[in-house]
Amino acid sequence: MKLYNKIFGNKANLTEQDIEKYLSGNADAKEQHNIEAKALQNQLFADAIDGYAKNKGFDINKFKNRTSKRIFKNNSVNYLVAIAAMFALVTILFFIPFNNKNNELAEIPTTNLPVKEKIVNEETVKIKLIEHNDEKLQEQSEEKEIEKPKKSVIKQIIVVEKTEDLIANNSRPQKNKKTAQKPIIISKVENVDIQEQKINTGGVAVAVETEQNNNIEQAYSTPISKAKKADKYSGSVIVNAENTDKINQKEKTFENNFPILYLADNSLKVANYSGKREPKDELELEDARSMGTSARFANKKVAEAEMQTNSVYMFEEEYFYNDFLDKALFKFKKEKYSEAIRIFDVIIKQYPDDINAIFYNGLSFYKLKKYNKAINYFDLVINDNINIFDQEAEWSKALCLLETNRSEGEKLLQKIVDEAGFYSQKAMILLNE
Amino acid sequence: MLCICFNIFSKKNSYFYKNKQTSKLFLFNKQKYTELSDNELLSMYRKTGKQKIIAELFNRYAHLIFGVCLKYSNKNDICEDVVIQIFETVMEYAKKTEIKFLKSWLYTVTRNQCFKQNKSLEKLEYNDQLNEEVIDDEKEETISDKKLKEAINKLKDEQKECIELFYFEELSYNSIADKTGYEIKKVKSNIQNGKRNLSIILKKERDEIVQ
Repeated sequence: MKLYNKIFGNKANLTEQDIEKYLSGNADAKEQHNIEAKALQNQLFADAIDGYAKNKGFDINKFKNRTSKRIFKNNSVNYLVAIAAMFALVTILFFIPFNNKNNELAEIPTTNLPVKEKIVNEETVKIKLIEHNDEKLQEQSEEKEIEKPKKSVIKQIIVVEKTEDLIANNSRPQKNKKTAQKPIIISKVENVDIQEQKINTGGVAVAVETEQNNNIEQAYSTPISKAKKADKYSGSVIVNAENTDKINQKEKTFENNFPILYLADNSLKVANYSGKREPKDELELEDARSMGTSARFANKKVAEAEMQTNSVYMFEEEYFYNDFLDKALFKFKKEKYSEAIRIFDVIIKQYPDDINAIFYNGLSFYKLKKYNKAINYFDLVINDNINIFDQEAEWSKALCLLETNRSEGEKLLQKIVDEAGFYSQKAMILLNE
Repeated sequence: MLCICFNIFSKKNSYFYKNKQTSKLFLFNKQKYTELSDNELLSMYRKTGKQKIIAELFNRYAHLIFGVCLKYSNKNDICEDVVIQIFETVMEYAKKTEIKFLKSWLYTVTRNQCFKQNKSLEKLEYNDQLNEEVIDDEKEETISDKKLKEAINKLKDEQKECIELFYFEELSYNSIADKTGYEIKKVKSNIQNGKRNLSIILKKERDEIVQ
């Protein structure tokens, strides 16, 4: 058996080194024998050695490298190289958009604001509601229509560059981009109902339904019962349970000439315009392109082509006034004053005498330390017929004046102390200082 | 990014687990391929069609094929092209059909390729049964030393002498030539022919036993 294996059992491969060694003559007798034994097992091996013996001095390794490159050139992929390429690609993709944005921000002027607003009649809104509801709801809504006070609606038309870069870069649409993603009207049906309840039940100041806020309701039954936060300038409100009685006594002397709502998590006081606003005609818009669909969109094909090639198309958004205001007040509450101002401006454009927007605009400007602008807004509030914000406006105006014109500020503070309103104590402290 | 890389790795690994029944990272494939036999590599190639397997076969046999080409063709320049052609045919042929004895198959194919260039050569036909490799591992055990020596005694004297010197005393061709006084070429042919005759004799005996 051993002999048989010696003769027939050899299955080792004949390598290049074996051949080179055998032909160079450096091998021992034993190594020679081993290589010869290997060569004997197969005609391929035997003939190969004969071939190399015929052409001595041939470089086998060079030949192998050359031919292997020719055969496996296309398909041999190094995985490490592929992974490295992936890394590079991903990193490049990460950085490209940021760079672009920065560049475009510098290039695009921010003066042309592609936002236009217009007021929509109550009826159009109702029609949309009916479309989306069941028959029962339709009946209900029809019944309610009679009772409903007319509500004001803000409609936004946002003209957007197709690339959407304009949105991202232009200061104003940046905010509207978020609002544009909201479902439009249906989601706000509930809010509408709640408002109606408020109006029917309370008439005036009952903004809160939950038990927790009963105290607040009482405290807020008159507008000035509102206690300002320890941060005396901010519009946000905290009710001091200790002071409420005193405040109630004092504030009964002041009477409101306007209903009040509390928005932004019942923390900010607001004039309740619902039912008071008369729907106006649609504003005349300066830009023809922002007026609904233009004539060039009459033909569908043309319109599609337009959408593909040219770049301008439109979003329409409708908001109820209170929701819109609520959004702005939340911004204000989160100390994003410039964003809040942008939203208030939208309101002021449609309702130039809107007391809420004017007052909170003033507060925002005060927060941004633009005192002169703030004073202008506060003056508007004070001169207005609606007296809800009068005390707050005077107080904040006084604070503004202290920064700019000290003597007049002190005069105003004295006036506040004399009126014995909500801010009289604070004004006293300030004066003494 | 890490996740992506990890996915690639894990996919590759699972792929390998399925096909090769061995659990090694794909980065160390080269080691694994070298451990496998020709037939295992070829069957794997039939399943997966991976070029790396052919590359391993190239490492094993390219220089030998080239040597055969050198022997049979007059022009050395052609040999490289012949090797490339042969490996291309291997890639196509091995996908569909099973090659039992790769070495002898390669030998016949290369000789036939060389025949196209050099028409003085005879054309060979590949035949499994005429091969030296036919004797399987299982049948080795049945052949004892005694039987082998009896078979060797049946050979011609020249062949018998050379084979005994080569296999029993483990001498090289040169030293055998010195001892016996034959030329090296004669020693070589004696041993080759003696080995072939031995296998034929053993085969005959086995067939007789079976009958």
